[in-house]
Amino acid sequence: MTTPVNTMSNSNLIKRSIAVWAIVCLISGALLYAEQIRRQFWVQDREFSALYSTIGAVLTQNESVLPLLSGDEDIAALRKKFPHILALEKTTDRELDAARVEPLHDQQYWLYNPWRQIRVLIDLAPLLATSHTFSRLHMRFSTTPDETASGAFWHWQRTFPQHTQPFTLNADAEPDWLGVSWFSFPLVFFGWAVVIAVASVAFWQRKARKEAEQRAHYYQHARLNTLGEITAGIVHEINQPLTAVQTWIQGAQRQQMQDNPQAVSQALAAALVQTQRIGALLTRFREHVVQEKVTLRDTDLAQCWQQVVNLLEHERKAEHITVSHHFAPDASTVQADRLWLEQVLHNILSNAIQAQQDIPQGWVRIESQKKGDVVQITVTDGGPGFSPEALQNAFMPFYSGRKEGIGLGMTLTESLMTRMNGVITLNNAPDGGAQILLQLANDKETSHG
Amino acid sequence: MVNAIYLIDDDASVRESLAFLLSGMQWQVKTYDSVDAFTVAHQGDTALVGCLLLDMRMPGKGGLAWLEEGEWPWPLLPVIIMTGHGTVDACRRAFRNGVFEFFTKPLDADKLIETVGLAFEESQRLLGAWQETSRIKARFELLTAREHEVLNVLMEGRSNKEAAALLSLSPRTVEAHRAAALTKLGVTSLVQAIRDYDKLQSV
Repeated sequence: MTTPVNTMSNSNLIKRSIAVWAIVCLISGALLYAEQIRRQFWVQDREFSALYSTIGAVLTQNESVLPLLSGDEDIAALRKKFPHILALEKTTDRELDAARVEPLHDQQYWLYNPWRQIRVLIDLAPLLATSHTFSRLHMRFSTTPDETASGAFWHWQRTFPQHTQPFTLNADAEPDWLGVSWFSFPLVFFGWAVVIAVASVAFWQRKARKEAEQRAHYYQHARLNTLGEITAGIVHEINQPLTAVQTWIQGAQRQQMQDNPQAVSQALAAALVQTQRIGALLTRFREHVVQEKVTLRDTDLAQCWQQVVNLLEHERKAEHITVSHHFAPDASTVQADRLWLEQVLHNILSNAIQAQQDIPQGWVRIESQKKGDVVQITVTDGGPGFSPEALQNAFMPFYSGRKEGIGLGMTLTESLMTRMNGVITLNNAPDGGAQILLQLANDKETSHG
Repeated sequence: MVNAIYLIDDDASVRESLAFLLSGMQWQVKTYDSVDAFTVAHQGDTALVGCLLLDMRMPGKGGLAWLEEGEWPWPLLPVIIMTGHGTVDACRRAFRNGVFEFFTKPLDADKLIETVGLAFEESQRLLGAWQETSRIKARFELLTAREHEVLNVLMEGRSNKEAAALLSLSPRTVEAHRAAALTKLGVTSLVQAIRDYDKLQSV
């Protein structure tokens, strides 16, 4: 890609890729951050649930232990089993149906036995103190919900089902905004960079290939147009003298009938001048067309063939065709012009592909072997081969086996081979496919000798 | 006026060979290498007869482009177009501009000669019609304004009396004008005068 247009479009592509990467990173960064904060919430929520179950169990214990106490138990022994019971007292003259819970202070309360005059002092503070992750954690000795807005980011509030101790556990927590695992962000960003780079390269390759195909198509088109123009030019140039010749001759015929020999010979002389003019035009035209001299060099067959295969293998028409090659070690280079040889191989291969459009599993095989002084290249395909008529006329200009063909491909191939001191022969393989033999000199000495 | 073939082609070989061929038919051939050369030679010469052989594509002004310019100063001259690029489109354009025949090069001599003969006949027919029209026109121009007026009224199919009433003249005066007009026109009846008048109108 050396043209400025392509460079520009490449830098555009890079810019666009970077923009896409930035957007994707932004979105995925935000999502990743939100996810981590959510995880923090889950941890807190699980802890709150655990705490709630622990306290719930203690409250149930209280309810079941209290009726069993007589009031004379040793508090130390009792505390061994129930560390949250701080004290055990006997009460006097308390109404048995009075409130059974009497908050003392903070997280401590008296729990009364409704059948006996005893009470126990319960302290929940050590339980609550086990958790440090909440910004606020406290027990309210009532079921009414806490109306005061705590202003915390997360808030939990849950009431216990124990009917003698209908308390509510409240907790607040703030997310640790900066406590997310930062190292995962660059990892994600880098991952996206890799993905987008790979995608961009794939996209760029596809685009480049499409462009190359278009360019090839365009050149083909331009060549056909040029051909059309040249042809129109020849037709115009030759038509005038041709008109004159025909008129002179027809005039001469008439004069002949009127027995006017002098006029006849005058007309014929003039006609001759015009035919010479046509001849000169054709010569001049051929000089225009038969172009530059060529220098033959050692040309690597395998490289040429690879180039041609690369050009053609992406065509949709060639998808079902298997291409194989075998170049003998002593027949791997030939005396040729590289571009011309590529052109020749390209024409042959694309004809072979064209011929195998109706065959589900097509193949093309190229082989080279040394035969005396020359290298013989054989291209065989699995198509229907040449018709007898095609074998006869394939090299004639404007003969084409296809309806839409122009009929110059094989003509060009033959003239290129001839100009490289080579020979091209068309055959049909014994099993029916087309078989094309190319012969080119192997090295410099033989090409001169 | 003698029939002549006016040949315009930029290619000398075509000019010479055609001149040779057509001269062989004892026809007078005049050749020009461009449209401009012809125009300069025959600028005011509206009464050219014969035919014009015209190449369609030439350096400078091409034949077809020339015909399409509009005002055609040689009404008696049929035009035969010759071209090396005979597309249907060019042919259609040519006939829309009133060409007599359209040939592609190389030309067939027999067809060309036959067509030139037909063109000459056409040219002579046009010339005859043109001369007749000029003669009648000249005669109508001899009439006085009064005679013209009387004749117009009579040609609409009115009787002498009705014409007299319409023009506030006496029937006798109308009679006199009518007789004078017919004499000047060189006809013997009103019907002949009407036919001449129609020829004049159709041109």
